[in-house]
Amino acid sequence: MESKETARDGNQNNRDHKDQRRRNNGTKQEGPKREAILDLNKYKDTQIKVEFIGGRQIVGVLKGFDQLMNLVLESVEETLRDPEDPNVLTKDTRSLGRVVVRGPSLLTISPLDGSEVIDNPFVAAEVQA
Amino acid sequence: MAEVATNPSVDVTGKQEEVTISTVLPLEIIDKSIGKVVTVLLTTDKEFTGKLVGFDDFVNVVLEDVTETDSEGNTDGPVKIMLLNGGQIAMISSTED
Amino acid sequence: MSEVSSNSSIKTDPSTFLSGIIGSKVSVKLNNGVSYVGNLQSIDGFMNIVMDTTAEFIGGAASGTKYGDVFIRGNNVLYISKV
Repeated sequence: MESKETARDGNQNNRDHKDQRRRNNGTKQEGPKREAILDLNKYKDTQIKVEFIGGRQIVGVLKGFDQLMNLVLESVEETLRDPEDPNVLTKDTRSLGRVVVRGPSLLTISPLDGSEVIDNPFVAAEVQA
Repeated sequence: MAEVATNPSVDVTGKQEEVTISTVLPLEIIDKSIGKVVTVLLTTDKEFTGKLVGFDDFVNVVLEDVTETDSEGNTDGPVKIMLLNGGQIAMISSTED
Repeated sequence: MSEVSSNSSIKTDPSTFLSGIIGSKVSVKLNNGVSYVGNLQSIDGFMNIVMDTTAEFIGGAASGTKYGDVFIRGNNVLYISKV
C-alpha cells in the first residue's frame, strides 16, 4: 500500500516538471543548444592528434567532420604502442592513409601546432626527493 | 540522423551552418568507400580488412572477404561475409588515393 | 537510410544482410573472443540473437560445449558472419 502511494506522488512530481517545461517552451526558452562546443572548422587542414578509447593514437590532417564528431583525416599515421605496456608509446608509426574517425570512440583531439613533448615531470620530482 | 548525411537545417544565425557545408562529411567518405577494400580498426587491438559492402546510421559495417588481425599479428579468415558491430569501431581506413 | 549513394545497387545494408542470413549457419563472435556457430533463428535491431544447434569455440578451437537454443545479448556481439 505504501509503495503505491509513493508511486503516485512520484507521478505527480513528474507531471509538475512536465508542466514547467511546457510553460518554458512556450516562451521560446530552449536549454543548451545542440552545437558542438569545439568548432572544428578552425582545425581544418591542420594536423591534429587524436586519442581513442582503448589507447590508440593517430596524427593526421583534418579534412572534415560532422555534428557527432566523426572526423575525416588524411595522411594519417598511427603511433604504435609497446606490446607489453600499452601506455608506452614507441617511435614506430604506421601509415593509414585516409581515415574516418568514429566520434563515439574519440577520447581527445588536440592540434599538433602548439603541442610539445616535455620530459617526464614525475621522474624529476622523484630525483629531487 | 538526417542532419548527419545532408546539410544541417538552416539556422537563423546562418554563420555556423554555411561553414559546415564546405567540409567533407565522414559518412559520405564511408559511402564512397563502398565496393573498395577498407581496414576497420577497433578500439581494441583488432582490425578487419575486407571489401566494404554496406553500412548503416550507427556505422555497423557489412564486409566481404574479411581477414581479422589481432595485436600479435595473427590473422583469422578469410570470412566470406560479416556484419561488424559499429560499437567498437575506432577508425575506418581506406587506401584509395 | 539517409545516405546519398552512387552505388545503391551493389551495396548491402546491415539490415538487408541480416534478413538474408536468417535460417543460415552463422558464426557469432563476442567481444570476449568466444565464438558461437549455429543456425540463426532471429535477430533484432540491438543485435540480440537467437540461434539453435549451437557450438561454442574458444580461441578458435571447439570447447566441446554444445547448446540447443541460445539467446545472445546484442551488446556482447562483435560480429556475425555467414559460414
